[in-house]
Amino acid sequence: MSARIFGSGIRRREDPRLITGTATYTDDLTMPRMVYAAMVRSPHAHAMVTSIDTSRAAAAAGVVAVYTHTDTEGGLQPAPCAWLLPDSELKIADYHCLAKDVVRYVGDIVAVVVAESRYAAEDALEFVEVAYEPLPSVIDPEAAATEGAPQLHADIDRNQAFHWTVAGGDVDAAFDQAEVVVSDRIIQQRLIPNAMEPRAALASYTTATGELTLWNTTQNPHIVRFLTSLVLGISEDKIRVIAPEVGGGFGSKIAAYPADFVTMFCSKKLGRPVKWTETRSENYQATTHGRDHVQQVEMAAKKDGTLLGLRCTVHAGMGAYLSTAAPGIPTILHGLMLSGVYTLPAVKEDVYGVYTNGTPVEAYRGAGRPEATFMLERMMDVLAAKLEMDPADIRKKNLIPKFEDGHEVVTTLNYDSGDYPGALDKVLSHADYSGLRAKQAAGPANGAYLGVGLATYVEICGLGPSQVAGAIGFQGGLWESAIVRFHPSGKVHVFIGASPHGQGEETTFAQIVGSELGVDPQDVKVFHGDTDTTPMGWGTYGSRTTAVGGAALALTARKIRDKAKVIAAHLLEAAVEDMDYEDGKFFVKGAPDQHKTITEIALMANVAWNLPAGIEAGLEA
Amino acid sequence: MKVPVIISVNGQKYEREVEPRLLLVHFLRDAVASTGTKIGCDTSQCGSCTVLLDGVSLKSCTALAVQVDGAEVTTIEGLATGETLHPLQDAFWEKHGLQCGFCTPGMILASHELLRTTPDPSDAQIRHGLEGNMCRCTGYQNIVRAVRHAAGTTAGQR
Repeated sequence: MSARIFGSGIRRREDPRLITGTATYTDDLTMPRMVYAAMVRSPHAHAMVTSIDTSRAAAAAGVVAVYTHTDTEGGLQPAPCAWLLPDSELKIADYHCLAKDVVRYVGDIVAVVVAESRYAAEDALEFVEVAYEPLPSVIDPEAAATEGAPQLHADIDRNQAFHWTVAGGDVDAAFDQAEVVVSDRIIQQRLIPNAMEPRAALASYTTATGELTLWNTTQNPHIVRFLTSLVLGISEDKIRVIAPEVGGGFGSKIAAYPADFVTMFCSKKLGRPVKWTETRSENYQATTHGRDHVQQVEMAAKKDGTLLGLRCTVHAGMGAYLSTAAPGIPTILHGLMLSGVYTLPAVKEDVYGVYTNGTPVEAYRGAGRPEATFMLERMMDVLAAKLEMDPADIRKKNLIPKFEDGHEVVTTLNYDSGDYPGALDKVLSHADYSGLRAKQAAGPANGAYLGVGLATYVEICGLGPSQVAGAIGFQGGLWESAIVRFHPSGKVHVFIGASPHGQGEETTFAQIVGSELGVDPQDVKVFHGDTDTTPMGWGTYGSRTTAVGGAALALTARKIRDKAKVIAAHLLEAAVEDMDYEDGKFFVKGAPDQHKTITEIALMANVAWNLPAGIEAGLEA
Repeated sequence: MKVPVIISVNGQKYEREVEPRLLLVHFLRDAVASTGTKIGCDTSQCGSCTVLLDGVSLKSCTALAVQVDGAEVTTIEGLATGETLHPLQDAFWEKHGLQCGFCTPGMILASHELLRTTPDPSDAQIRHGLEGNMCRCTGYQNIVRAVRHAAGTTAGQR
């Protein structure tokens, strides 16, 4: 039964509301007395703000308020960076939610207009008169790190946000012994994550109680709640963050953003609900970007293709400020991947995180790891070309042999198990690799050239263990949690800490409960994304929600099973140790007809007039 | 200055006074509180705002409400008949043609248009027919499967 439920292809639980237009995303929400915010953003990559005149905007039709940095003193702290990368001389520049004196990227917020309608707010943006004195700017991360480059932050030399290294083995000796060395310069271009749903925030502050509710397009509402308490100075218990339906994130909805804090600030100031929704142009300018690496790479090998070492310097453009999780991405989530699936005896990578006059760079699909895989795999191809070897052969030559009990690679990660030669053989055979090469050698067919490419990877994902999170400087514990509650009818409510936004865990998690407790997944409703009603969780990113949160849920379900077994034993007048469980039925060992179903037990646990001594009412864990 | 319009949305007539510059999508979302229609890009690139205007697809973020005065608009909320899903809605569900769901209303209505004009499309025709609609989650494969699944039913005629 277990195998049939978890892993079976069933229709998604979340889809009925999504295909009928009845799902509620942040921008779909309205509230009584709600007003709309719009942001005045810098059109300059780098400039002094010499004056701001808000008087015309403030007097415009429908405008409720206009705020600039000077209005926020004491009420709005800089947006925090929460990945405190160790051993890296990390220098976090203040990321003011409303720019203070200087703007450092196109999109930096200078002022906010609040008005009775979105149209009125947008109209009034044009009436905010900002005088700028442009400063020299720098976009290229390598150029930004050179002496004499325009400096973004007065106290941060050469724009260096951090310098992080990963090293293992004797890389200099590897290059001394090398029979062949290849090198390449690889640009991993800056890109825009572009979730279909624009970012949005609806903040509602109740002056009488001091309580704040935020509906937000976020992948991690609990992190937003915590950071909001720091930025707005409201204690965490008075903040409720709700991620309603969220229309994709791809990493760009991890950060806690200045615009969100500004929206909350406006609500607090005005005592009215305030909604802000970005335009697509704003999304390009001010929602975080991804990648932006300049990689200078060398690979040392023997003539037969055996790898000896990898040496590289990466300049990672971080944009004008360090976003919430930014420092860990081109470092921990990148450098530790560099051994890939290969036996690599020595590695040395220097990563320079560099402030540039660009939009802050954050996680994007894979976040640091594709940049590592591409680098390594590109170098394998360059080496194969230099040695005139087949790209499959050079990979085979260097794959870690099959292992089952752990294998430590040069970047100090311990891989649990793997059969990479087996996997490569399988894919080459499935794809008919030799056939493809023959076709390719035969020349263009019907005018089309045939390209054949290979890439292998193992990836850091399922971001988890709390001790690891602590060791790498991530300020959150990366654990997950779940509450499972049986109603008297045997129907189940599940509350999870993670916050899916398209990944389908309302279905997957219902299947996990179904598998563990023998209930129909249709009878399991999964709640997520509300810090007042769900237990603590660290969010959905890094392929972690099912891996970590699903495991937490399975453990929770087993606690239910343990309690149910005690109740079943009592009802059947049997000893607990004589009880067995299968497919939602608790029965006396050897006598499967003497049983109680999980539904029957849920009813008794909830009405509770016949429970064993010492057992609390209810069926919940 | 506001202008009176009468626009029928999913069979219900709405008489409203609107600014001449009011976009149809804002009329639907704000004046009629029909929020199933989404705004993705503001510039008619992404297709999230696709609706049917007198049965023909239209990107509602670049039409003005006053332009459609007197017309009948169908949004995603108007596609099902009571509790019975439209075949396209059912096909998107069955074939996992969505993940986050944000592009889905527009995607389904653009598919409606495709099947109205091309009842039995090839995969290439489906891809061509939906090129004005973007999705970031699915990689489109399952959307194509969903439309193919719905084709051959009366999907385009309803």
